[in-house]
Amino acid sequence: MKQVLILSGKGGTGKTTVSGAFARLAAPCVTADCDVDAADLHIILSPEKTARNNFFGGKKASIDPARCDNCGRCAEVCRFDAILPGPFRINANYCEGCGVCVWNCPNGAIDFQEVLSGTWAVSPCRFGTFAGARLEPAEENSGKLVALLKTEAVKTAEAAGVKYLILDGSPGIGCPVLASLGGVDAVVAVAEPTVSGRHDFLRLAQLLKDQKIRGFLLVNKWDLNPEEAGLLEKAAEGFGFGLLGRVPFDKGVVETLVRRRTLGEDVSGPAAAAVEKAWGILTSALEN
Amino acid sequence: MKLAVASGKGGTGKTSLACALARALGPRAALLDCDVEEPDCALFLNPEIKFEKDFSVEVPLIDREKCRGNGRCQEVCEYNAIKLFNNKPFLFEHMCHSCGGCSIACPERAIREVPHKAGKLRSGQAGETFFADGLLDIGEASPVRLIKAVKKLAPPDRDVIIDCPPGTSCPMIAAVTGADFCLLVSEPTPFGLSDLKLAVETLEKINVPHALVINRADLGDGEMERWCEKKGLKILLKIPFDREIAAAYSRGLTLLDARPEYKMTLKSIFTSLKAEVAA
Repeated sequence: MKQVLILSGKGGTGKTTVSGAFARLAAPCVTADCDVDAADLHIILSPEKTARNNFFGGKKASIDPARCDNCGRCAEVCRFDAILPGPFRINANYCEGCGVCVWNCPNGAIDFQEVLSGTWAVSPCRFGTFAGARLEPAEENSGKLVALLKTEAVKTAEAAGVKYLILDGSPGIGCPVLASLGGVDAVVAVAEPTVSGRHDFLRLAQLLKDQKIRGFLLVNKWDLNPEEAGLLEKAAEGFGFGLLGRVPFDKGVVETLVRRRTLGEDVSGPAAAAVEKAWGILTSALEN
Repeated sequence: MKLAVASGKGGTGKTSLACALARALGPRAALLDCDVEEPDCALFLNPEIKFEKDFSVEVPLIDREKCRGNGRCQEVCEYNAIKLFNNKPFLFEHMCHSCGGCSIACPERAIREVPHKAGKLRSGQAGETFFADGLLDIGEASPVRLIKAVKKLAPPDRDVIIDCPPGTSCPMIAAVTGADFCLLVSEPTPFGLSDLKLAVETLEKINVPHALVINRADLGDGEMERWCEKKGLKILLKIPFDREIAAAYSRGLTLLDARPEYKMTLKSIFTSLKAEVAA
C-alpha cells in the first residue's frame, strides 16, 4: 500500500479538489482528510453517516473562585498569557493545557479537565472508505487528531488490502502538516504560479527535503502566469521533485464542486484531463 | 482599531485584502503578517526592513550530574516530552511546548532553560505604513508564540491590520484574539461556505465581532449569500472574479494596483467599522 499526501504550503491552491480526483482514480482506496480544522473533502466524497468517535485532545485549567485567594502564583508561572488578572481567571483560548498553574497553586484552587476537542469517523464512500475528523472550532491539538486519524486510516487500508491511501493535507508547514508526514511514500505539492505561491512552495519543499520525503509538483491554474509556472517547475526540479504537469484555469472546476462531484467524475474538461494525466505520471513513478 | 483579516479556508484572498487595506489607509496603519508559517505580505508591500531578530522559545537543558532520576519532570510534562530510560531523563524537543514546568518541578534544580531558535521577527516601513512579520523556522511545530510576538510589535498609535493564518485552531485564535473586529474573506463555493461556518462559530466562541467580504463572488453558487441572510452575517463587499486582479496578484501586486477604484471603498469600509466599534 502506498501513502500519497497532498500538500501545498499556501492555502486554497486546490489540495482538496486534487485529493477528491485522486480518490476516484485510485478507487477502491482509502481516503483521509488530514485538514481537520477546515475539513472539506467529505463535501464531495459524501461518506455514509456512521457513528462518530470522540476525541479528547488535552486538558484545560479553570480556577474555582471559591478556593482562590488571588495570590497570583498562576499568573507568575503561566507562559501562555492565559491567566486574566483580578479576580484571576483562565483565558481558555490561550490555555495550552500544560497544567503548571494547577500544581503550583498553593490553594489547590485550579481544576484540570479533559476537553472534548473533536470527533472522527471511518465510513464507506463511493470510492472505498473515507476517514474524516472534525476539530471543534477554537480547539487545539489538531496535530494529535491528525496523527490519530492517520493511524486509523492506515489500519483500514491494510485490512482492506487497497493499493492506495490518499491523504488530503493542511495548509502551512506547522504541527498538523508535520503530523501528517509520518510514513508517506510521496507528497504531491499543489502550487499556483504566483509570487506568493512560489515562496510558500519553497518552504514546503525545504521541509520535505529535510524530512527526506519524495516530492512531486502539480502546477494549478498555470495559465494565470506562464512565466511563474516555469519558475515553479525549475525550483521543484532543483529540490529533486518529479513533475506531474500543469492544470489550466477552468471555470468547470467550481461547477463540479457545486454539484458535489469530484473532478472529471460526471463531466470532463481541461482541468479534469490534466489531473488524470498527473495521476498516471505519479502512479507509474511510484510503481516502478 | 485592531482589524483582523481571517477566513477559515486558505487562499480566499486574506493577504491580498489585508495588504490593500494597509495601502489604502497609508500612514495611519500598521500591517502585521501573523501567518508565520507562510508569510507573504512582504512580497506585496516590499517593506524596508529596519529591525530583525531571532525569535526563540525556552527548552529544558538537563544537568546529568545533578539529576537523581526521581522522574518528577516526566510526571508533570503533559506533552510526553520527557521520558525516563534507566532512571535517566531524555528530552524529545519537538514535543516540548516550552511551558517551563519541568524546571520548576525538579527537586534537584537539575533543569534549566536555554533558548531554542524557532523563527525570526522583522519590522520596518512599507511606504508610510508600519510593517511587521514573523517567519517560523522550517520543521518547527507551533507558530503560536511567534504570532503573539509579532502582535506585540504594533505601535500603539496606529490602526492595525492583522493578516491571519487559515484554519480555526490555535494559530488563527492567537492571531484574532484581542482584535476589535474581524473581517472574514471567503469565496462562494461549497468549500468556502463550509469553512466560513466554522470560522463564524469560532469568532462567536471567542467574542470577536465580524462581517464578510466575498471574493470571486461570481464563481460558485448563491448558497453563501442565502446562509449569510439567515445567519444575519453582514456582507460588506463583493469582489467579482477578475483575470486582471488574478494576474496582478500572481506578479506580487495588490488589488489596488489592478483596480485603484477599490481604495476609496476599502477606506470607507474601515472608517465605518471603526465608528461601529467605537460606538
